[in-house]
Amino acid sequence: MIPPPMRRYVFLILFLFVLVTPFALRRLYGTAKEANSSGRELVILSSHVEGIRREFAEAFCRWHEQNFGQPVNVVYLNYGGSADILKYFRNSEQTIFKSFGTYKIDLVWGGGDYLFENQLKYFVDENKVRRPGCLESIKLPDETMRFAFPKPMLNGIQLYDTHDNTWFGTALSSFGICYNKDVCRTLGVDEPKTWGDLSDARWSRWVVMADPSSSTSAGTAFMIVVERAMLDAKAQGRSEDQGWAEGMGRVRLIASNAKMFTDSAAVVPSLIGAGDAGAGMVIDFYGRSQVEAVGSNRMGYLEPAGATAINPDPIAMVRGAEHRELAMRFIEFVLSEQGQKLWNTRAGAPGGPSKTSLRRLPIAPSVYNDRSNFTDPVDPFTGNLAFDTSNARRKTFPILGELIRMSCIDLLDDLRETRAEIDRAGRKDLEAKLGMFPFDQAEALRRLSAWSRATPLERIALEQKWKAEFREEYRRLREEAEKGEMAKDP
Amino acid sequence: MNNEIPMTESQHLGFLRFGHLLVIGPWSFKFCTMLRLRQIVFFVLSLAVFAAFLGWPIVQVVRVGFQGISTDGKSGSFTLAYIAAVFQDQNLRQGLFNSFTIAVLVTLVCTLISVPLALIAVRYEFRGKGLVNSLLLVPLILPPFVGAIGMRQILGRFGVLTSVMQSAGLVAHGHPVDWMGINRLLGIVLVESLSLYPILFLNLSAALANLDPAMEQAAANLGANRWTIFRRITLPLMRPGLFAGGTIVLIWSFTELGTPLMFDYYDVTPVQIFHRLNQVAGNPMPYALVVVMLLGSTLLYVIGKLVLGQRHDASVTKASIQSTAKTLRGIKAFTALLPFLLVIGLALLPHIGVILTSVSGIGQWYDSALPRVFTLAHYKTSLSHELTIPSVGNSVKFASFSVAIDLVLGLMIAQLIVRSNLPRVLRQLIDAMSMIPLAVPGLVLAFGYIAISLQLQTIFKDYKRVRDLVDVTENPTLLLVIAYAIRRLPYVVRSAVAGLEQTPIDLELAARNLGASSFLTMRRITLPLIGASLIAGGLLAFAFAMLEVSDSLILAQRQQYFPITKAIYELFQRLGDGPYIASALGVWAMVLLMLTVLSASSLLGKRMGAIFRV
Repeated sequence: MIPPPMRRYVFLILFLFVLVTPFALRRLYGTAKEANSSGRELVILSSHVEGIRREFAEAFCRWHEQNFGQPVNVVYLNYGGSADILKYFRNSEQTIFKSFGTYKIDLVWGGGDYLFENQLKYFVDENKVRRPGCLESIKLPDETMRFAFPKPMLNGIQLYDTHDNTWFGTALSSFGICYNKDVCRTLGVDEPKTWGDLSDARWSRWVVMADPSSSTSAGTAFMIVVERAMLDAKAQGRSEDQGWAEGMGRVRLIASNAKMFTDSAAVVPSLIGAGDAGAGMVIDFYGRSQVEAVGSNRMGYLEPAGATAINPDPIAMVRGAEHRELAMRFIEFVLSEQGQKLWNTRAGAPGGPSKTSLRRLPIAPSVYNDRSNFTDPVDPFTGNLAFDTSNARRKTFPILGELIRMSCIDLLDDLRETRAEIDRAGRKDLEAKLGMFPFDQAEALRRLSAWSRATPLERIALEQKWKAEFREEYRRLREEAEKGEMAKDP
Repeated sequence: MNNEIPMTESQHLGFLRFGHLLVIGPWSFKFCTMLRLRQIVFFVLSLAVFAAFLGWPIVQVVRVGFQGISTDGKSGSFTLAYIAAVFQDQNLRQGLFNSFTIAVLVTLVCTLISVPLALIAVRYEFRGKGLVNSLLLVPLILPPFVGAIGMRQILGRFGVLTSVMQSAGLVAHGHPVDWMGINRLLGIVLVESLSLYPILFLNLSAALANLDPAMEQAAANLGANRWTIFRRITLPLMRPGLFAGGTIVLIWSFTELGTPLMFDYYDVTPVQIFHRLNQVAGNPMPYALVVVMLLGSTLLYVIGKLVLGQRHDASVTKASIQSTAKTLRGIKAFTALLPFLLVIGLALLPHIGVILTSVSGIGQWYDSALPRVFTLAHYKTSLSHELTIPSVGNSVKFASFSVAIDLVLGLMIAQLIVRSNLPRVLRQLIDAMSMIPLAVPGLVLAFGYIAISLQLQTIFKDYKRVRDLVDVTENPTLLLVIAYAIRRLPYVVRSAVAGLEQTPIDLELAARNLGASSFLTMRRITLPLIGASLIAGGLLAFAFAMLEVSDSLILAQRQQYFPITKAIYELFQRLGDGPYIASALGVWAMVLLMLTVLSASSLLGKRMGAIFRV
């Protein structure tokens, strides 16, 4: 028994015990070094996850000390996704950049090529006037360029900013379908092989996707579905414009099966792993990591053959960088063989990361020659996973996410109800109507042009008008389905 | 019946002045002028704090809602068109309606849960009461990010409930049920009520502790039955506590983001704001929506004030004798314990989910009631991680400083609201202002602070020391402490106001009459009398500051300054084992916070007992 006077200290003693646990565990098991705060500082704004940031910083510090005999202190800033990065730069431009001529950031790293090419390289103001953004043109050593980018393009996509040399891809990402095999058995569906498989009505309320108006990577995944449909239409003798409507219709059918749209693409695989959702579109390394975490008997990841796109994930020097020399060295390190090997070599293997496997695809093709210690033995340069994408077919990209949001996400209940009503009525013809977007690419481009010209207030009016059109379309389809059902009943 | 017309505090002060005038003549003029002057200084000081640290950052962000997206520093012309557009959009209208519905229902359910529990806790002694009284507060300290995982583990399609129901033969095998999707609005109301009732319970317990049992005894002596006593005596007297807790719950649930997100329910205003803030394309609508939500919260507060917040005679409520709780034994004791166990059991489901996730092998808690493989490896990984140790120290430091600021500011503001003889409209202005931090979405305030940090650096561009102090990328301590303090201020203000309203001013006046300085009166009379309420508010503020998300994620950029919530977020994002090690760190933080409350409670002894009755 604890004597009563001591009793009042029991919680305090427990409190102290809990408080010192991490210190004890750190002494016993902690391996990572404390950040070196004595060295020169390099400030990187990055949306990469903790593992990538830590492994690259550690490896760079070692490399730097070996090659230049000086310690470095890598400081990462992380404001969130691409929308937040953009917001931060726009805010800083009018304040600290104007006053001090620097953003107090040396490098920006990660967030997808769309962010770099279309949002950071140029800033577009309210009057649609384009001016230089926050990235700086740099010249990398020829040796680095030869090693990392022997060819500037892959499947029609530029791997670095070939025009202005502002950004350089450091890794590649592709997209695929993540699915839960238990759910497939429960629903009595085959494991999905193509994007179109997710539009099967049996997946109703089991599909999970990221919101393309919040996540550019989700937008890219939807663009792939549409582009593939455009190519297919062309191959079958129809116009690409028409194919665009078919692709968006396919997106709409998949969306009608949505359990939810998440804000972050990273949540999708974990929901599928837990069985809360059955399938979804994911970025390759998220999908593969989750499959390994929960086991391939429960989960699968697949890139539809010839129907995915591969995009670079860039790094860039920020205008007015205060530590230019270090920043250049960091870019050179990331694009060197040593840096590139970190992406896909198993943690602990020679040349690999120390603690965490990063599971991303290196951008330098020669790194794929020896894949013995790779976590994922995939080669984007030789496999026939991706198709030749083209900027011409991606013209609607800036408005794709908005159109999907207006027609599918904001009206999700309407859309689901319409699909359910059509299925109840067994009307394949109406399903085909729902599977065809109400307008084609030519009209989408007209809308894009109106949307880009519009002031924020005019955009609200446009959005309300377009949403009303979709709502009306769904209402009419339901009405037709109900009529059909009534006709069937007697 | 007491036919005396109750005297308000201002009248009391007037009376005091009059008395002084009679007794010591000209001295009173000086005293009054000083008193008035001090109140004006306090008032201006409070306004300045609100203007600088609440108004400025909010305006930085929401002005877009009145001007459109400004570029090149040039602002667009003022327009109300965006605000109007909010009401023209069918989705946004529906969102506002749903948010109001949720807020009202959650407040009702919380009241239904808290009032009986608080009454039982005050009236009766029974075995296990100390423990359940402490456990009742645990729902408040659910760590962020991982709470949703805990809930999904239990209510998800392959979660515990499905598994248990399948074993019991109530749900067919191969037909997983989406429990969270059945009636999402109801689900949100229940989950929010079960996590927010402690706020009301704490305030009600403090109010009941202040209540004079002689009043109820007198009513009983006059032949009133229990219901009449409750309705006519207890309820009106505990109204300050009900108002203090109720308005916080009302505004909190109106602006709550996490729970609707967890239920994938997007037709509520906070989620609509969140989604639009995250949109890649710049859009003024979320900012207009924030303004509408702020107005809506103010409206709710005013309604709450009209229903519950009417002033009453404070001079008769403070207990002159300690109430004695009746000791229950056997089946009666168990009956008293049962509602506590039921509420705690339900409210702790997400916590149990997080705890079990933290000890489950990766992917091993799936389609089963319990994890198939247990492990402590996630604790080893998370607690020995280099992010963890500094983050604990940072959080404790930031939270303690912010609570200290809150106590000083909160007491000052409460004095102005309750005790000052400033015009009523000014008192109400400061009262309403102190509630605004509750209604501002965390992200808006966080980005507001980033904006003012950038502006301050420009303003002080020639003073490097000041510049470094306000540059969050260099060191976020100053702005983070201020942000935490401002966001958590309403808890302390409400508790202090409730305490002061229940404390008769006579005691303070007597002390002043006997020549005590205002500082001495505060230290020897006021603080001991409202101590219970202040501790309650301070504890809430501390717990919520430790678990603060938005400011922590956005303002703390350098790893050496990460607070614990940012460390949990960073670990949560790890691929594969992220949710598990984040849960482990979350559980550790939860236990630490719980032990903080418990050690405070056992060390403070009776003073704390006034709230918790431990």
